[in-house]
Amino acid sequence: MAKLVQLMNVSCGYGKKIVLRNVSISIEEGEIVGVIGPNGSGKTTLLRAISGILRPKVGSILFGGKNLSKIPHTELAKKIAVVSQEGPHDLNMRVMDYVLLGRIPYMGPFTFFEKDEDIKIAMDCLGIMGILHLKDELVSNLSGGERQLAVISRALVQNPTLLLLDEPTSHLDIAHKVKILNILKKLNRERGLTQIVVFHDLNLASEFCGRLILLSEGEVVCDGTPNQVLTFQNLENVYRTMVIVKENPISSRPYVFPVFEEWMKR
Amino acid sequence: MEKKRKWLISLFFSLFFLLLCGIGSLVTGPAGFLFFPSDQYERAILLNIRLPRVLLGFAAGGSLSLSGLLLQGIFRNPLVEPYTLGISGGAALFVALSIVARLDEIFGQFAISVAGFAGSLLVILTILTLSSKRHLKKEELLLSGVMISFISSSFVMLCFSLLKSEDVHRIIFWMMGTLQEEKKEFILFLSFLSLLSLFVSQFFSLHLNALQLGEEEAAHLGIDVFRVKRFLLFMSSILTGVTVSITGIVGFVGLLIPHLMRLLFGSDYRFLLFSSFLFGSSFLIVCDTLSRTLIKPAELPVGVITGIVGGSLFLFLLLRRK
Repeated sequence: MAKLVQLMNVSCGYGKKIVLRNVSISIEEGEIVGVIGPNGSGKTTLLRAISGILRPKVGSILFGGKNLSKIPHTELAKKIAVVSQEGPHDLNMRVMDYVLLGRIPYMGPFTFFEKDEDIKIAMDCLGIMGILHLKDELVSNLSGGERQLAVISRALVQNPTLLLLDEPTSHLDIAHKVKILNILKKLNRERGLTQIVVFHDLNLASEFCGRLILLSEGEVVCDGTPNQVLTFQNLENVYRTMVIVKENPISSRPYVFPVFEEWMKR
Repeated sequence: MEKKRKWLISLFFSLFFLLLCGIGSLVTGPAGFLFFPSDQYERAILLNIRLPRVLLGFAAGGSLSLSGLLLQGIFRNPLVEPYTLGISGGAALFVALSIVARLDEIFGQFAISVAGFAGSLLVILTILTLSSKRHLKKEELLLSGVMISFISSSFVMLCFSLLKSEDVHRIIFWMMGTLQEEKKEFILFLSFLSLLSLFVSQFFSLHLNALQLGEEEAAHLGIDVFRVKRFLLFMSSILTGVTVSITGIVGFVGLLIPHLMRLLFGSDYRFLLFSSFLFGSSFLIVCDTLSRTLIKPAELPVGVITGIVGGSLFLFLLLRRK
């Protein structure tokens, strides 16, 4: 397995504020890596650094062996796609047109209309996400779950080798959560699509990812399999909350139970 | 391909509409309907009086509307119009000052236009300097423009309070805007500039489409958001500045037409750019025709017509849709 992304002693932030401190991780092709940690621990900033939006102040990031900041924007957009936390809420645009925006990196400066090939790819991706029947709907008329499926379709038409997802399922019902994660897993299995996913829900992270990175105050606290990372010592240290970790009877992955005040006395 | 066909149909429809308005405006006027000029006198009216006005209406309407559309796209704010950034305010202030200094009596009428352009250029340079600061948020840039607007209009008020009423009258008339322009070179220059901008803007239609998703999302799609925004801001400011210095402050076109086009064509800038330009042209030509015929032989300020006609039309369409 070749290394796809390498962060070497990366520190970055906004203005004078440093959010990520001295982070060194490497991600192999075909991995699904979950990023977890409390609010403000630098999860989103880590994604922004890897996507090339945020330049590191110190250290360097390699993508496919090349320095990330040296790769031209359009080239990068053909390799890395991002599903951000904020979806398109009031976009007065048909789903098909929205998804086709993801083909922009492939359209040269003198291409004005999408080619038939672009439309075919968009149809394929809508098909994979199971929302081909919605292609003529307005994005603003979609439900939250459908909208997220459309957002992921738009990311997929970029034909990326690396997909970055920032809490892709956090506002969705359990059916959409499972559906989206199943599709992402399938993409990983069948196409070898590497994914870095920020999770708030520790149990989803545990089920979905082969490897977890636990961040706290901008630093990597623990990096390993869910069994290594999701221990009650790690979690209580980072989150300052009492938890109990048990094994999920179905998948034998760790499952985290928070302990509420009223039960602590017993 | 379906979209290509729709694009061509829309383009022809817009061009046809513009042609209709242009011809309609050419044949109507205070001197009555003139279809086929029978003598030299009538030909002079058509070619030397009406044609330049129609051409200026085309160029100014297109420029303001295109500039409004671009600024709304850059700032992702539907309330932005070409004058929001204070370009018209700067122009108005310098025009007022040039009237105070009697520059037009010394150098001739065109000195007013030159002063107007100098004023707008000053504001444009300020805005561009501000926009090259990466850390400045787009809302802050917008607010700076609004403040420049307020400051210059306060100074104009100060001029009013110090001037004789006939001078005040001339400033107010300039501010209301007119398509009456003696210098043919100005009209030709603006026509050229506006068509050039329309052409150049086409290359940014996909960028503008992507910008609707937000700046960060557009960057994820490989777009150099900072440079694209700065260039489009530059282009639309120059377009506004030149237009304002020639026609005065013709209001409403730049706000109204882009929104009408969104109602008509949706949110794809490949359709919005040319249609805003062409319908903006048509709209201003029609409004100018009304302004010079409604109370002939006198004229109404064209800015009044654009506000009343355009505003009512827009309200009607917006409320009917709901």
